Amino acid sequence: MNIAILILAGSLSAISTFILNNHLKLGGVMASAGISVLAGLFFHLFPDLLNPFLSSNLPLVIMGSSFIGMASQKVVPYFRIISIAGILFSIIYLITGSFFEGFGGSLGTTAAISLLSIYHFKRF
Amino acid sequence: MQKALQKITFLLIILLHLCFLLGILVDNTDELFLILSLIPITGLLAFFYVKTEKSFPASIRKKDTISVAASVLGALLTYFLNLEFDLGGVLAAGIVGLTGAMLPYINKQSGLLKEIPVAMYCGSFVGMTTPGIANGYLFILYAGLLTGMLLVLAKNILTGYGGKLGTIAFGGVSIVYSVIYLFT
Repeated sequence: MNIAILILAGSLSAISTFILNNHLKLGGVMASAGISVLAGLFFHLFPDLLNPFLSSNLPLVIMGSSFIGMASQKVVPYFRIISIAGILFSIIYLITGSFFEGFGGSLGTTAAISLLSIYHFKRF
Repeated sequence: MQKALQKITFLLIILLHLCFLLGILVDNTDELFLILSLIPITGLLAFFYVKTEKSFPASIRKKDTISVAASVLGALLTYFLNLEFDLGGVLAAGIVGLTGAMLPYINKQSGLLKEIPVAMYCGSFVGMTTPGIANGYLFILYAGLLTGMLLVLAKNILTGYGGKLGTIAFGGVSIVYSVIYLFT
């Protein structure tokens, strides 16, 4: 159940950032930082609302997959690529384990790997 | 010179992605399913890099120094907010990124202010490094500086793809970490 929530959150966060970024023309930084502040603030104010696993991992998944949504619509024109990349992000995040824990930028690297690896599926 | 540096940065980004996948592999050597699932991801990533356009027009200008400065500032501010106010990396980086994104609205005509949001947000990822890895503001300063320089060099690389800034920040942090690890 926890894993399903993380995967769903990853996909939703990527799509919402993509919409804020490209359709509402907020720009990538404001869209992604806005989503991250909302997620970070929510779990900062209500740390015990969800179980400890979700409280510690959900904000990271939401922020990380929001980087996927920072992609420009000119480069990635399809929602399905963004949403699948969001799902893939959550899966890679879950298997990354502790090797790069605490390194700044590891979420962004995961986001780049998720998006770039499925980028060429856009033609299907 | 500029073209050579940009090519090196492009190769560095590929190397970082491969190292990251290798790190996941090292972490999960006993789980065959995970190892097997990494093979298609690595293959698809390699396919992307083979297909992607590789042109590096020389475009580094003096005003790019503001990107380096914004990256350092973003990194230090995020680390400070996370450490002193215990906000957590996500909220700290989000606040710094959002602040950076507001700056161009001070003067919409200014080309310099437009450079700040991306660089500051990229720097803020560096600041998300935990104190256990960073052990001090000096580490964040060096990592932020290197990240800013890589960001300027990577200006024409992977433009418009998500995750570019994070990869660059990861490069800055991991290179500074490796140098300190090797020489101290």
